[in-house]
Amino acid sequence: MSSTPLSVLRSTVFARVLRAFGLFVLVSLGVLWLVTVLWRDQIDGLEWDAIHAEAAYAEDTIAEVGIKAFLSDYTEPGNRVWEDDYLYEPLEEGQFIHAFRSDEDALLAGYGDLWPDDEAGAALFHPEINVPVRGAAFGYEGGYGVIARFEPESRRDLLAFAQFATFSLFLIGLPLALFVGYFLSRDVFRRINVVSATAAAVAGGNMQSRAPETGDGDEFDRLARGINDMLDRLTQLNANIEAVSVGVAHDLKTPLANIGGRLELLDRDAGDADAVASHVEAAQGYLAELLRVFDALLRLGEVESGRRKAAFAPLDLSALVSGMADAYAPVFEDARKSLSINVAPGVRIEGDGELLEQMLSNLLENALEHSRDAAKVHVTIDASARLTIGDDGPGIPPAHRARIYERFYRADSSRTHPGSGLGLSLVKAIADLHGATVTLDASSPGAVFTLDFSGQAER
Amino acid sequence: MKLMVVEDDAETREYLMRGLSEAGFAVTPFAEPRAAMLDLGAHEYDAIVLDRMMPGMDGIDVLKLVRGARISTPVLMLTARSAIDDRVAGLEAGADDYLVKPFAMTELVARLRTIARRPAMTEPEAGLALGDLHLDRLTREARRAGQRLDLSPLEFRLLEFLMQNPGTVVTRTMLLEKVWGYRFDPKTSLVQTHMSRLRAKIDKPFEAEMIRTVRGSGYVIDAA
Repeated sequence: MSSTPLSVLRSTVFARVLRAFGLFVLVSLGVLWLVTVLWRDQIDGLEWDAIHAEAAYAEDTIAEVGIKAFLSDYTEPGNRVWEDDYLYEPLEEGQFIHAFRSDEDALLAGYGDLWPDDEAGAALFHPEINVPVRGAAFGYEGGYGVIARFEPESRRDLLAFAQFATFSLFLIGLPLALFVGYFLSRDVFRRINVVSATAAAVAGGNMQSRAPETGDGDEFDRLARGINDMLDRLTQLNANIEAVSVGVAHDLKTPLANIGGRLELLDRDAGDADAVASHVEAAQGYLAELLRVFDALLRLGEVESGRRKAAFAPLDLSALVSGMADAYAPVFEDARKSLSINVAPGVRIEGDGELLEQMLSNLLENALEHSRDAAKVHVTIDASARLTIGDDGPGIPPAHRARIYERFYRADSSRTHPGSGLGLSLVKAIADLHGATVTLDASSPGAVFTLDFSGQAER
Repeated sequence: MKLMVVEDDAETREYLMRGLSEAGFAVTPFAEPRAAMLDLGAHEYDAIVLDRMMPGMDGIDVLKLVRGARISTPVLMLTARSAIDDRVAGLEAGADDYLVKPFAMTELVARLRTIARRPAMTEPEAGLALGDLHLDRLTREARRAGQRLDLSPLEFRLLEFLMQNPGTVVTRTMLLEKVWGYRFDPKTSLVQTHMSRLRAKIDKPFEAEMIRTVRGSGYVIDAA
């Protein structure tokens, strides 16, 4: 995706700017014309009121004093009958114009081409002026009259303004919308292109590529950060998978080679029933070892996928821990080590009992296997749901502490101790699933693990 | 004992046939679940071994249909090594037991023996007896030859489970599942340790041993 003008025009931002502009224009026009029409009606109303008042005054006065007396008062002497040119003054000043006639249509006063009209009340026929007039006609003893006024200038201005505003909205607004839309989209495009370029680079195999973060915390920055976090996580998962592949290859090769060896021996010792039995038993032992690694890996995958969380139920952690410790106590005894149990009763959490049992057994077996001779191992759980399992030596060397939760990692690099190197990975994964933190006490001489469930303990 | 085996994979079916026939079961194999279900209407079996993954039909669905038809023959499900949820789904659908491939034939045989002999929904008896060994489930007391045995609650449950299946091999994993309720495979000798303590109490002081270790598979209890 590059920011060619055409692709910018097809962008969502551009389309939205145009749509927003269109809406703006429609609403503006609506308001403009509504105001214009109301205003025009207002002007017209006042105008008609003035015309009718003037006509009524003329009609009443004529009825009272007669047309002659009225005209001598109402009109300027010497300017009783108007020439064409005279009309420019009332056109500009907004004065009333009139025409008074006798019954025989002889003009008594006013302008000769102002006539009554059915629609506008009055009609003006002037050789040059074609501004419309409104007026009122009335009759009197011996004739009839028309009083009218030119359409006010404010009304004409108003309509002219409304038309002008309409045109300008289109003529100025449209290019402006296109312009703003184009540059806005281009800007957004530019910011997004950086991110999509990163995605394309990663898709192309460059896993190290990251979207630049501007640090100003705007939406593009957040997008970049989100994508970078995702990529970091993916990279880490990838690294995990690589570690697993190497671990699997390494850890499975030995038992597989051993099984192969036993099969060869079986072939050679086929006649010796005792030898056959011992080879078969040994091969089954190696197979069990292989399956244990697979089981642990599958469990780990299942736990890390978070699927088990759906099956979480309230459970009595105290009872679970005591049961498990009681089951293991004789095993410790037989190994000439001691297991002391100190469990606060009634500690309840939300969790998966089966996984928690697995986790505990991993920790207990870890303590059993890696502690010194005659070690004292303790299991405690306090009222705030903190579970501690630890021994009194020799502990985990500081150099290894950071890596003990990695899959297939073993402090004992010769790999002579039994175990898959997955036990603590599984412990960590199960603890994570339960919202518990796992810490290894650095000050203690032995390996002391603390699992803190207090974050999710039932309140 | 008559056994139905429903398994689509020819090699596994052959392995099951051989192993189970040698263990003394009369095995009728089916490669396809529909034929097997039709046959269930015509013949009685003591137990069914049902593969979970079969082409065209999920073992769980087969099981639901079977249970829906009110056929209560005990069913043991086989599944490929996968998630634990599978087991829960299988048991919920009405399976009596569940075994993950690959499995040892001894394990399968031991599990089939215990489910095939299980009487359908009977009241648990208050007392169990085998030879001169007596177990009172109400008082949680065990006696051998009239002598009271001082067993821990766990040892009592262990002995109880063995005595419910006299003469049948009980494997370590079965004990872990049924007595402790644990679904993982401990690296340590958890079962062996408790078993040797139990045997020290019920066998050592007496002349004849009742509990025997079956090499490579598990334990069996017999009247001395």
